[in-house]
Order: sequence, then structure tokens, then C-alpha cells
Amino acid sequence: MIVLARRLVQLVAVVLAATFLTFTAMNTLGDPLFNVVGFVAAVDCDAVEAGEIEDISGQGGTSLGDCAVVAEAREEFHLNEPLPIRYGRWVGDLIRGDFGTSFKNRMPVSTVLADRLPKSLLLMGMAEVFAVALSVPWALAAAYRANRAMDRASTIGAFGMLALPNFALGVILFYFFVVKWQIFPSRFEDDNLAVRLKSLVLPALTLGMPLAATYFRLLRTDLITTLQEDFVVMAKAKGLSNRWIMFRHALRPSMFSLVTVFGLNTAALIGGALIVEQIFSIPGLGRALVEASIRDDYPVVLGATVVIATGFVAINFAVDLVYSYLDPRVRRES
Amino acid sequence: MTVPLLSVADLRVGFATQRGLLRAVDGVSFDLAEGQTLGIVGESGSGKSVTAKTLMNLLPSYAQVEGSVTFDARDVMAMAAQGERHFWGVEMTMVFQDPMTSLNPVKKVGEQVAESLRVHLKRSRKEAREESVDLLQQVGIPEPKKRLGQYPHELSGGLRQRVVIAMSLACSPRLLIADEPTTALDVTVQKHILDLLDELREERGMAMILITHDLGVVKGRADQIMVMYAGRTMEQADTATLFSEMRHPYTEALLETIPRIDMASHTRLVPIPGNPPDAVDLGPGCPFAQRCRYCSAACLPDQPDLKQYDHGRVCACHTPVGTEAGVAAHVANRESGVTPAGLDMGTFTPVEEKA
Repeated sequence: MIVLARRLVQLVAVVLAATFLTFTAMNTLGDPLFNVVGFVAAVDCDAVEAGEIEDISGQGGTSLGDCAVVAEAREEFHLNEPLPIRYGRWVGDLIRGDFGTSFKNRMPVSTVLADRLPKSLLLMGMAEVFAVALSVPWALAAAYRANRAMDRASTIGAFGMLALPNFALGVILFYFFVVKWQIFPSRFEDDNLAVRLKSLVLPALTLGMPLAATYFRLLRTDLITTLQEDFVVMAKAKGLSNRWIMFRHALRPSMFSLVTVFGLNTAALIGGALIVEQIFSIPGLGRALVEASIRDDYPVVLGATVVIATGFVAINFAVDLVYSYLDPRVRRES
Repeated sequence: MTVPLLSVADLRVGFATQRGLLRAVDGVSFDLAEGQTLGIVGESGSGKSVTAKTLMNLLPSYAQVEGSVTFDARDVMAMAAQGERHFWGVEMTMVFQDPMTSLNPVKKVGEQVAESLRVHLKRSRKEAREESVDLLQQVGIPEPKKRLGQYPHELSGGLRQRVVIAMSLACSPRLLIADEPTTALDVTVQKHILDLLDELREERGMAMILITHDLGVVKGRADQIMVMYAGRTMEQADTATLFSEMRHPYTEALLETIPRIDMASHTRLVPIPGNPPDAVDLGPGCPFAQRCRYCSAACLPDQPDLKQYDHGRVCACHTPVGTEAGVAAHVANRESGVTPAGLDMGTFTPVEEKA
């Protein structure tokens, strides 16, 4: 219980810190009004009213009246209030479950997130499943015969997979499987789960292969270290088969680095798959985040920030739970 | 004489290193009868652990093994080559030096004791559990049921070694190899563990190989003692014969390194001067010559063979202790103050006083 409470405090702190930084940055670096009422927002209406400068907005077919539109929009989005108060207001809304409204099409941010997040989560899940399903047997086989031909070839292969950037890998896969052989659809299809899974195979592979290479390297190294341990010699002396020793003695104590990096990568994938989402036309959270950032649509950016920060904390909590499953010696401390 | 349970003949184990072939074991032979204990004694690097690992088929694949090992008329080397799966851990098992590291830290004690039963004897989960409780009881672990659910880090060193012993007894082996089973334990616990091993051996009528660097450990427990040095057998005899009169200067030197209860207090222990030789580059001659106070001119160019003495004792030495040659060499060395190998006899002063 204490652990859970501590985690909740941590979650609140991380979300507040992340959103405050995002909020400040978005409001300092760009003008959110620009996208609400169009480019007139760029005109300094205060100066126009004071007669200090000429109103150039009329040249675009609009007139001084547009400053009234701007004022109205300011009022609507509380943009005329000081930054800390606006942030406080945003946090208050968030606590009530209101993520705010997108500047782009006045849709509630929660609707945008509810539409985008499941696709990103599915993509992330598939990528991690591919990565683990590939790397764990691969590492077991390589570590069992360390420094033999298969292990050496694997190391080269893993570095190759790491060195290939995912935009290149994505384009290559896209070219062969979509354009040339037409096995997979060219864009995300959302009719039912089977179709969804099928259209996510290539993007998940694109994300999963470099991950698999990372996991392979980590697990192989740790396995080789574990296989030097006395308890492995003891297990051999007990006449246990190599397979039994690899799976039941060596694997579990070798998974710490893997689990740590797995947690970090998974959290990063929630909103960080934008390149792959772009190549395979998946309307995921990463793309939503990029589009919203370019447009200074800060309610959406903030909403995504909340989701990603929560994901990071939640996944790291899960990683800690896995640690204590993996090693009983961790259990006593928590 | 009955057919021995274990028969090792001219065992040689080498490892190819960058500097050349490392001869870890060089022509070791011994027989061990059912229910008997053989003590193998020597310093670190003497080849005693490699001998044990060879018997247990635990050597890395690049080790070069020659010689023959027969266990109850079965060819152990052939079984290793064929990948026999129910011999090691069943008929022949091993207890290692450090119980802190020889148990898997992430598996419950119960799982680790039960797994041999499950793998080799195909016991069901429930049967294996019941037998595990029984085994823990036999090795003197209190509250065995509770221990099964615990992890190794929750047990003391002595208890862990008892668990390791229980594991090695699970399939009722006929030969137990204990490689320095008490070296990593507190002195107070050492005796308990050694006594336990002895009792279990007697109850079960199994044979045991007890490997140690401490002659005192094997003194009251082993039937036979083999003293190893640089991968070779230096002296081998039954325990009473060996302790009543040792022939090999190395055995004598080893014994002088152990404190004895009948020595006057403040008696200085005599360390063996120098270090064990480099097993890659042994050169001709007796490997112990550089450190030996009985060294004669013949010891340097010419390696002594194992020779038979009284009471079935074998010893590899040109100038055995207590023989004419030995006494003569010792007197000559004492007079010149330096051995033919260049060792200063002053190193041995406390012994001179005793003599």
C-alpha cells in the first residue's frame, strides 16, 4: 500500500512537472491564437486600438473588426489571463476530467486522445511482442554457443539492425510488402481487430527489429555472465540438461538489463513512433502530437503529455514489480 | 580384493593455453571401493579440483582428457561422449566449495532440491516435495517444510551447504565428491558438515572423495589419502600408514603447516617456501624440488616415478623421508646450508630445533 501511495505521488509530480514545462514552452514560443482566428492574431490589436500602428489586417479582406474576434477568442480560451493562473485553471479542469478543447476543430481533447491512443498502444504492443519473441530465443541460442559461428554472425546482424534507421527500414519494408508484393495495406485500416492487426504488422516490425537487436545484445551478455556462475556448474553436476539449465536456471537471473530497457523503450513508444506512423499512415498519438505542436494547439499537446507521462510512470512501476518477481532478494527491501 | 567402484587409470588433463599446454592433471591413478572415502590433498593448483571435474564431466569442451575412468564396470568417458543423461547427478554427485554461490539465488530451496528427483527419477511434483522434506530432515535442517519455500539468501552458510548436500543425495548416489566442502564456512560449522557427510556416507554405504588442502580434515575420515602436487600423485597410502610415517617430503611439509593440539603454544608453523610451479612449463625433474629440503642432485634432472613401499604405499621421490637416501640428502643440505636447487636451509629453522 505504501508503495502504491508513493507511486501515486510520483505520478502526480511527474505529470505536473512535464505539463508545466510544456505549457510554458508552448505559450512562450508560439501564439496559440494564430490558429484559432487565423493570421490576424499576429497583429498587435492593443497597439491598433491605441492608434499607434496602422491596421494592416484589413489588407487581407478583413478590418479592424477582426481585433474584436481576437478579443473574443482570447476571452473564450482565457488567453488574457497571466500564465500561472491559466495553468492552474488547466490543472483544475484536468482534475475534473476535462482535457480542454482542441484549437484546430474545437473537438474535445479527450476525444482526440481516445481516438489516437488505442492505435498507438496496439502498435507499441505488437512491436514489443515481435522484439521479445525474436530476441529471447535468439539470445539463448547465441549465449549457449558463445563465440561460435552462429554467435558471431548474430552480433554482426544485430549491429546491422541497430544501424539501420527506422525510416529507412520502414520505407524498404513498405516498398516490398506494400508496393511490390501488395501483401499488406498501404494505410491503416480500422474495420475490425484482424484488419487492424494486419495493417500494423509492417510498422510493428519496423519498430520491433532495432528493439530486438538491443534486447538480444543485453540478454546475450547477461546470459553469458550467468552461465559462468557456480550455480550453473552445480546444475550441470546435478545432471540437468542444457535446455533445462538455460530456461530454468540461467534465463531469469539474466533478465534485469532487458527488463529495464524494455520498460524505457515501451514508454518511449507510446508517443514516439511518429516517423513510422507517418510512413504507414497510422493516425496514432505520435502524429497527433507533431501536428498539434506545429500548430501550437497546446490543449492537444498537453493532453498527450499527460498520457505519455502517466505511461512512463506506470510502466516503470510495472518494471519494479517485475524486478521483485525476478529476484526474491529485491522483495525484502520494498 | 573386490572390484573397485571407481577406478581411475593414468588420467591426464591438459588445457591448451597461449603459452603452451597446461598439464593440470598428469598421470593420476587410484581405485575406490564401495563405501570407502578417498581424501585428495594438495595446495591450490595441484590438480585436485580438475580431477573431480573430470570425473563429473564438468570440464569445458576444449580440455584434453586422456586415460580411463571406470565406474562399476562402466566406461565414464564413453558415457560422457554419448551424452548419458542419468549418470551424473544420480550415481555420482558433487558438493562444491561455496554454498553461497552454488545455489541459484532466484529459485526456492524446494524447487532446487526437487528438480533432480523430477528430472532423473520422474517423480510427480507432490512425491518430489515429500522426498525433499525427507532429504532436508536427513541433513539435519530444522523445519524442513518451511525451508522448502525459502530462498537461499534467507538461509545461513551452514544451512545452505546442508541444502547442497541434500541436493546431491537426492537420487541416492553411490559416489559423492565433496570439493573443499567446508572451506567457505565458519570454523564452528566445518566440523558439523564434515561429520554429517561422514554419517551419511556410512548410513547409505556410498563412497566419497573428499578434496581438501587441509590434511587435518581427512585425517580421521578418509580410508585412503592421495597427496597431489602439480597435477601428479606424490604419495598415496591408507590413512593410518600415511600418518604413522610419511615418506614424501611434500606430505611432511603439508602437515607442518597445520597447527596441532599437542604442540606447545607459540610453536611457529612452518610455511612451505616458494610457490607451486608453473604447470605450463614444468621442466624436467621433481616438481617439488625447488621447495624441498630433502632435494638431492638427482631430483633436478630426473623426475621420480611412483614406487611401491610398505603397506601398499606409493610415493614419487628419490629421497623419501625416513629412508637412507632421505636422511643423507637432508644432512648434506643442512651442512652446506643450501639445497642443490638453491633453497636456503635457514627457512626451516623451527624444524631443525625440533629435530
